[in-house]
Amino acid sequence: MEDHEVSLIAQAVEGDAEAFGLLYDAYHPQIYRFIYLKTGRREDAEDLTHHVFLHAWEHIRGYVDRGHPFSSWLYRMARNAVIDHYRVRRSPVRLDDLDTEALAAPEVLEAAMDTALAFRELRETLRELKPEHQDIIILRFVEELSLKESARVLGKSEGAVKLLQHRAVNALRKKFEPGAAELKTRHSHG
Amino acid sequence: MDKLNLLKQFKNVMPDPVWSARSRASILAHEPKAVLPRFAPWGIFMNALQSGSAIALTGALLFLLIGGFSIARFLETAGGLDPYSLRAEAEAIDIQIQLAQLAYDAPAAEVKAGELDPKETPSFRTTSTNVEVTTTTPKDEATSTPVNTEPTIVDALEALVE
Repeated sequence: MEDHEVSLIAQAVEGDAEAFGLLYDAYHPQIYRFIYLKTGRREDAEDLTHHVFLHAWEHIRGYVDRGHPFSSWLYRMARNAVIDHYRVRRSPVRLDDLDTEALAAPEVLEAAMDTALAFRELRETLRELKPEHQDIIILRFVEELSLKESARVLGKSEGAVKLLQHRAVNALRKKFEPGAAELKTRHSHG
Repeated sequence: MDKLNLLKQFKNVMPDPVWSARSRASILAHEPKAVLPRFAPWGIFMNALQSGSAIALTGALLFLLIGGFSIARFLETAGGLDPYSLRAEAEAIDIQIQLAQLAYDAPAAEVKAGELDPKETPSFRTTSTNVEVTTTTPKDEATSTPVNTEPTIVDALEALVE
């Protein structure tokens, strides 16, 4: 953590709203992204992100700096928020209902993709993985957190995270294997 | 794997700036909650109280479950203590005892008094509450029906109902 961030956190813990506001500015995009990729709906991502930061602000006085990144605290709350969200909601989101605007809008994104269809397929496939596989893929390959940081977020050892990542990548690879889509379609119709 | 490289493009997903500003203002309008010191006496007392009550309740529940407690059976028993139903049951028992007494007394009356040792002649005298064995004298045999002055179950239940 940078000194500036350590100072901001210390001020926020003292109840300085302005300092927490700066932390919000720095971290809310990645927390929003993490939740969005797991829920697939912009409205849910906004509600849950708001909830995470509100909870963080209300409990900031209890935050103890143990040398871990501040983001790992936020990610843990975000994971729990998503778990609670699905526990209450119970019915999974249909892939057809997914909000495509949030991802399709940025031109830079369009340019980086072969097609919008490939992008959509990847996002949908990601959401078909187990929740913990989704977590590790998002943290390691989207947010590019280190193994150590990912381990902090997931509450696991670095060895366990390595294993989890290996399994998650394999699971994702299997989804994209030739014939997997056909099998999936046949399974859904049968 | 190209797909994993493609995943990095998700980093371009950003929240709506209008929503971000509104959410930020809404959050900062709240006040952070005060935190009690971890080792405050009140906190220790509350923790001990919570833990103690949880253990006590769990113990009581286990005791009831292992002891074979059944709420259905308990309610059934509680419902069966109705004085009116008890009285009906007592009356039914009374009739059976009286019938048994009649069956016993009939052959006893045919026995001659002189043929038996008066001191060892057993006779059953029944009351509505119990059946007791007594040794009767020839004088008692002459009056075949004993006088029953003790209160019966029915009398007791009537008194209870009143």
